[in-house]
Amino acid sequence: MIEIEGLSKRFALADPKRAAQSQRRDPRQRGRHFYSVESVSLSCPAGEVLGLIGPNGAGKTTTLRLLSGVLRPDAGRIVIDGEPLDTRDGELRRRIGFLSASTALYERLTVEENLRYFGQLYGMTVQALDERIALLQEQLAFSDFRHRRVMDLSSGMRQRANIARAVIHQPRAIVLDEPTTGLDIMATEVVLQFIDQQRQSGVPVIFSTHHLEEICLLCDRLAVMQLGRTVFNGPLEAYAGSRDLEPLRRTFMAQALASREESREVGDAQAHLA
Amino acid sequence: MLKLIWLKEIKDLLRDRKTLWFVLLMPTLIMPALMGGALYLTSSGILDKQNETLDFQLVAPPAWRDTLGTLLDGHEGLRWQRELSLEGEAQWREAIEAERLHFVLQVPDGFDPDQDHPSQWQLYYNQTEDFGQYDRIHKALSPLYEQWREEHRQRWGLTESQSQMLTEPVSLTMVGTADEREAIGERIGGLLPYLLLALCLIGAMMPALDVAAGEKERGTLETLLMAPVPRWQLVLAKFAVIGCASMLVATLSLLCGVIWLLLAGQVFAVSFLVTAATTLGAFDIFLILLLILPIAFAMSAMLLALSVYARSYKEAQNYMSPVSFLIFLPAMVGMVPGMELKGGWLWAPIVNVTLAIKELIKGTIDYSLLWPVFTANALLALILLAFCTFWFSRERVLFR
Repeated sequence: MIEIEGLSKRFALADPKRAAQSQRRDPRQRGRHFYSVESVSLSCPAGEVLGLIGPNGAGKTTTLRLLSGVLRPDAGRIVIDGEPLDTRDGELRRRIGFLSASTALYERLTVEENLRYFGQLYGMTVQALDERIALLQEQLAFSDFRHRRVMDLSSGMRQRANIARAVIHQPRAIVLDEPTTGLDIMATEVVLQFIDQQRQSGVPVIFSTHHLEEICLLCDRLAVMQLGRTVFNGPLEAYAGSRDLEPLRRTFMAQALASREESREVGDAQAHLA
Repeated sequence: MLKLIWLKEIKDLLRDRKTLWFVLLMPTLIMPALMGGALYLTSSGILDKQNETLDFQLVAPPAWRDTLGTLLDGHEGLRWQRELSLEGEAQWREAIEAERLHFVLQVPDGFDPDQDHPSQWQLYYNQTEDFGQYDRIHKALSPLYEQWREEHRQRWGLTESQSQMLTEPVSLTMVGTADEREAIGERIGGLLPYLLLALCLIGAMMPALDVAAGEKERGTLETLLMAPVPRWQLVLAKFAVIGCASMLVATLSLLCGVIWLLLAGQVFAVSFLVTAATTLGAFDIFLILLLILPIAFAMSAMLLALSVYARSYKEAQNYMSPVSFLIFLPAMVGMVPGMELKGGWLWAPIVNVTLAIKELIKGTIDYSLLWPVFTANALLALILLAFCTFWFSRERVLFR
């Protein structure tokens, strides 16, 4: 089970004066900082899939980067299987498998070389790697291109190799940031099947997406983010009253538009005070 | 872990043709070929100029025109354009500029070799095109000068030595105390460290661009940052790759430079090249590389810090170009005549290395001075590496 409690992260603004004078001011912009995520809490039990949705800039990627250990939170904690983990040590990164549009493989290395390299970085032995690669090769069907360089692969093949890389160290939880963005139908299918496989094997999966139909298809739970905060976190049915796409879309849109209006009002008030 | 990351980075870099081109082919083949080609073109151009036929017009009193013209025409590659009769300086200048003539020799009206004072002749020529070819005019006229001098001597009743006394009262023989090595070192000693440092920088640039900004752009840096490896280890491994590439370029450049000089010197029978190549012994080469080492490391740390700050490969290139002047400008100090390895210069990074290498090549180095030189540059490298490690740990830098 993955639990996030009160996670917050702020970034220093490159040019606070200019940001303060901006017409389209974001309420998360305060003083010299931009509060990207504030007190975000969500949880995903083992064997369930949590979908994370929200408009662009809502803080989804920052939340998932915090969860993966790439960024360090200013506040809050991450608990995996009941054990709070310090984001500064390697243990969190060892337990999480992370995949996003900005996590790529080394193009000049073959698929196998990439997998072996990352496996070794996670401290795996040669024998453990041999076994793991053989298993993943079967699950993700990459035996045909295992010895080909990544630069020579199609986007679908790359995504399969990248998924294998994300789970090479047998993580206890999987975090995927928009894993189907830019993929064709076949490659998308591979990703969705993989998520389903992980769920069946009892691994909690958190993934962000802009495709609501993927949420309907796969998710047991839903978390909705608006302006750096979680505005909903619970079973999918509890959000829109059903698992169907249309009610989900309508509820999300209504919430997103209300949030945008609220953000504009807060931004205007802050600008007026400034 | 450090070794694992280093080995992977090396493998990745070696599969990149751009790196192969810049790190291996450039110092071994491309640079020697470019420099040899440039040297060949320059020297053959100068030789062509020195040997070209010089067309001239002679403006002289009628009594002397044929005598002087005949003496010059056909001698020392001079060709008299007898039919050409340009009037006045403006027309001569125009003809020389248009390269219809190479020079105009003007002998004043009323010239008389028997007069008791020297005659003022004028030679119009394009001095910017002078590569020594105009000396041939003096050579062609010298029999005539000799004849007139002899006639004056006899007329004035002077002995041979009295005549010589009048023209050259003192004969000064220059006796050089510097040996051949020192002389060669003075001539090329400033250029070699400059070239080596420039090559080190170029050798470090490609890997530095690739292992940080390139990885950021390709998305592999974030993948790497997720691995449970301390960031300082990532920095050290990447830094070591850049440092190795830089030193590899320096070593190959130096060794290939010596080999190519020897080959070229023997094939074209140019003794200067052979002497220049054999001036440096194995120990000198070792010391030169040892002095270059901390600079290569300092450059590697600096370039890595810039590269990791940049959002993309292109942005990193933009940062690196102006920063490279921080290396080039101090490296040029070694070429300034009169600069010596002493005082404050001993502790001035980069400058002290160029001066020390110059002294090494000249064979006049005081070996005890190498410690402060090495220490100053090693300190600089350490400071830059520490900064780079700190820089690499900042989220603001990694995720701009």
